[in-house]
Amino acid sequence: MPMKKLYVFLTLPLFIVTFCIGTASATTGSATMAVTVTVASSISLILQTDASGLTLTNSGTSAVTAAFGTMSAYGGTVPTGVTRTVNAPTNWKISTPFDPVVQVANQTSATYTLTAQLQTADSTNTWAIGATTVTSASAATLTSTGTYGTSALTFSLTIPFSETAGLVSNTINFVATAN
Amino acid sequence: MLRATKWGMMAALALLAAPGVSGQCLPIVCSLTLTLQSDASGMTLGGSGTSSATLSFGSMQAFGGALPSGATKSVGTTNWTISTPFDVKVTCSNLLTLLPCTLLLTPTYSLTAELQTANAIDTWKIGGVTLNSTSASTLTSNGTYGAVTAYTFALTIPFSESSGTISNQINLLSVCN
Repeated sequence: MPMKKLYVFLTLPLFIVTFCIGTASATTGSATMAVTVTVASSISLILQTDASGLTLTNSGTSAVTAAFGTMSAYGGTVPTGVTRTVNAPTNWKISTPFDPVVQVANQTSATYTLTAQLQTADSTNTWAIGATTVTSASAATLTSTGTYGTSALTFSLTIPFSETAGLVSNTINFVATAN
Repeated sequence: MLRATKWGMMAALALLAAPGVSGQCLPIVCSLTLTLQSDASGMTLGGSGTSSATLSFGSMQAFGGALPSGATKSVGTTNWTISTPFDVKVTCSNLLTLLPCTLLLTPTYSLTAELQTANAIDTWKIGGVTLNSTSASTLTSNGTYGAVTAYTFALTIPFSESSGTISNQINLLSVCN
């Protein structure tokens, strides 16, 4: 085949593709991403300062501190948000409100149960949350019909007059369980 | 030889100047490849570097629990969100090795994403764009070929949803502009 005809033969298809197809169909690329996650139910319990109570350190977390500082049955300083009640000649009590916040996720539950237990045995002082005495022997139920969200409880510590002056400290362990 | 050169040049000019080519790819000339890959800051994708990837978060919960490396969790008052970045790369391959792709088409592409299966409970997002299964959502209309672009995948799960497995497939499509 003459070279000129060969060149036309080779070039002509290019012209056909260019001019004869008109608007060519858009070129595309595709990909897929398969996503999986297994959702487990969960519950959250945090403690926060009550508007009328003693300021908690690390308020809004699950590990807070209520530091009353130096207090005495008679005279002395009473921290803001703390109430002191003297029951002479037997004992005196300090108390303050605080707020537990309980939330539940991905579980059908209308209420929760909240318990409290002292970390270390204390046979001298009386530790209480609301009207419930809290000991280290077993977890005491504070409520079995708790409503999710924010609630208010009152912590109190009763100190007998017979107790020697010094540091009183302990940890209260709270557990919230979805009903 | 000169005649061969002349005809060759005419062919090249025809391809460059042809009105039917502007703004569109010639399917016999160019092809697009869309691949997904793990982002340096994100979770490891299964099938990274291919067009078929998997993103497996495993067991997760709103409060507490484990968090996969590269995943982020944020908890609100009524829902919680898990998210992670991943990378998208669109390349253009010219089947005519003598000419670069950019001479035959605009240097940008559009990228869309669509859920394979309807999900009225959870919220699926890529790059802040909410996805659904009824229509493709545009992630970008001016993507750059060859560039590795990071997008953030996010899944928002309401507290009211029962525990269990959430799964779906996201279909991504790149189209040359």
